Amino acid sequence: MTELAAFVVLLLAVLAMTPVRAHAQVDVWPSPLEAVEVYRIPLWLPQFQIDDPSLISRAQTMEQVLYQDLEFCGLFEIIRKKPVVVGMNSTNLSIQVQGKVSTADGRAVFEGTVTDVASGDFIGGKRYEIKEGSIRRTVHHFSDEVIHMVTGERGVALTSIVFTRKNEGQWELVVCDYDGYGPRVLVRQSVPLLEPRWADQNRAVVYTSYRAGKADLYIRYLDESQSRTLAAGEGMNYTADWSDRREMILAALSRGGNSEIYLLDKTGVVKRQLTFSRAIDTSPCWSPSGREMAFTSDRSGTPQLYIMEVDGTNLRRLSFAGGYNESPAWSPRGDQIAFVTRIDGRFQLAIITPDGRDGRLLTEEAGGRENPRWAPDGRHMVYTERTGGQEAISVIDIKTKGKRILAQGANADWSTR
Amino acid sequence: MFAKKILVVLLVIGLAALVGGCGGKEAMEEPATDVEAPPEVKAPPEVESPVVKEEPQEISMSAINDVFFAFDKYSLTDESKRTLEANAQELKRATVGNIIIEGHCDERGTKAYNLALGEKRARAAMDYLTALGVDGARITIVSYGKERPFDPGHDEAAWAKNRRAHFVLQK
Repeated sequence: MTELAAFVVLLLAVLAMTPVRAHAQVDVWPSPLEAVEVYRIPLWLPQFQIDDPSLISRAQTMEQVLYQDLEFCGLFEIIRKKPVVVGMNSTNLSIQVQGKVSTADGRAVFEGTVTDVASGDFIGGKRYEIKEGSIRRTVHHFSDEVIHMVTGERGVALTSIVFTRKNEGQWELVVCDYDGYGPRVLVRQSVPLLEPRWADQNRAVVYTSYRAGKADLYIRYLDESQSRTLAAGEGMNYTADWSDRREMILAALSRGGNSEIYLLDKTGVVKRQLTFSRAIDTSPCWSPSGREMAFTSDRSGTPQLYIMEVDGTNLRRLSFAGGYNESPAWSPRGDQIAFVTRIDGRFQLAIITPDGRDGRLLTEEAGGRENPRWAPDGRHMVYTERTGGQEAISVIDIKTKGKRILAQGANADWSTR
Repeated sequence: MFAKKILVVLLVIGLAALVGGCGGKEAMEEPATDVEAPPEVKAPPEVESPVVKEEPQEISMSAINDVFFAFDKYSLTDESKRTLEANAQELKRATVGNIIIEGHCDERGTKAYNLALGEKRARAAMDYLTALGVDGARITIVSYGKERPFDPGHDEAAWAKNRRAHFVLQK
């Protein structure tokens, strides 16, 4: 028996000495994400029917907004002119969306219908009273209905974006619609203001501000006229990320001159310290489940992405390629983490799966990009585009890689639905 | 005894297969995190303190200079250390007044990371001063990340100026 025991011990020792290699990672940043040929559902959007001439200008606005919404979502190929339908088997046209504006019982009414072009079958319809001041919201609501009727997916036309901008030497915290329309300044101040994140079911925004001479965390409810202090302890208090699922906040606090990540309750009280290293630990972001977080640390010598459970366990490194990976943002579906990576001196957007596979570059052009944040559809992302000294809020469709500029500014965050 | 030997052989084969199997399954392995401690601030050489005791003096900011850093670094260069040694002398000579050390970064990289980096730079400067005997209670640090560049340019000349620990007299 001793022979056996000796053998086993020896073998276990050999096993233990087998070098643990980093898993099959790529040393160079991975191939760019190919813009895939995305199938778009052909959608015929004829001119609106206008039954009351006094409603012409409102109808035109609505038609334009509907066109932009349906175009933005990336799901449709929109056709404006009446197509030539060849027989019943016409496959190049499937959906007709018809808007109609009229007056009924002295009220302006918008009706939208969705029909199958080939069969003429009615798919669905909605009817709204047109109220001055909410014309765009009415159309956004209808366009989300169209997307849902046709694809079963939920649109993002009723979501909002928060961002910061510099305006005549002042820092401003601004909220606008998902398409950049209707900006509203929530806070204006002469000292830096950054990293806003939606909080408390989109009713509030948490952000970092130098109001008291150093970086502290504040929360601003949209229906209030003053911000409340959330965390202003010794050192810096910054980069908060709120989880609606947990009703908790992740933030970087530096008590004693070194930033660590902490879990705070929704009133800003520290519940747990999550990182313990003498390196920089910052930019925490929640997983959609509220169970894990991704963050950045330079504990290896360069900024890299890490993941851990919010109970403090299961810490692992996510990024290995490149010398600067920062600003993680976990997709709402949980399957991707977007981040900023430095390649040839330029800062680009990339995505990687939470198990560290399939890293892909989303951008390659000159200039620089930062702060990617997902739309709730998991397909669009808002980020800061930097050209020279100019900063702009841009949106990218990660399927088509199509981009558009939303507004001048930086630090955007996309609300949930 | 024979049975025992067979058992041993089987065990060896089994364990060998296990070793081989593990080698193949790279996904199962732990990623190697090379945890490298950040450079430690070394205790600086002793600097002679002035012997003559005079009236408490106010800090002359013209004798205090900023220190500069390399990209994405918060370690002190030899030149930075010399500057800080001169700053320490002034702070020990002039015992009236407190200072704020602001950490700044160039525009490259993200806002959040630069906030932390700026703080590390301010902290490195402060730690060196206190190691030289300056009273830590007289120093406050704040990081502005890349939010308040000194030079608004977008080239290396501007960036080099913006990666600094900047000294301000506390009012």
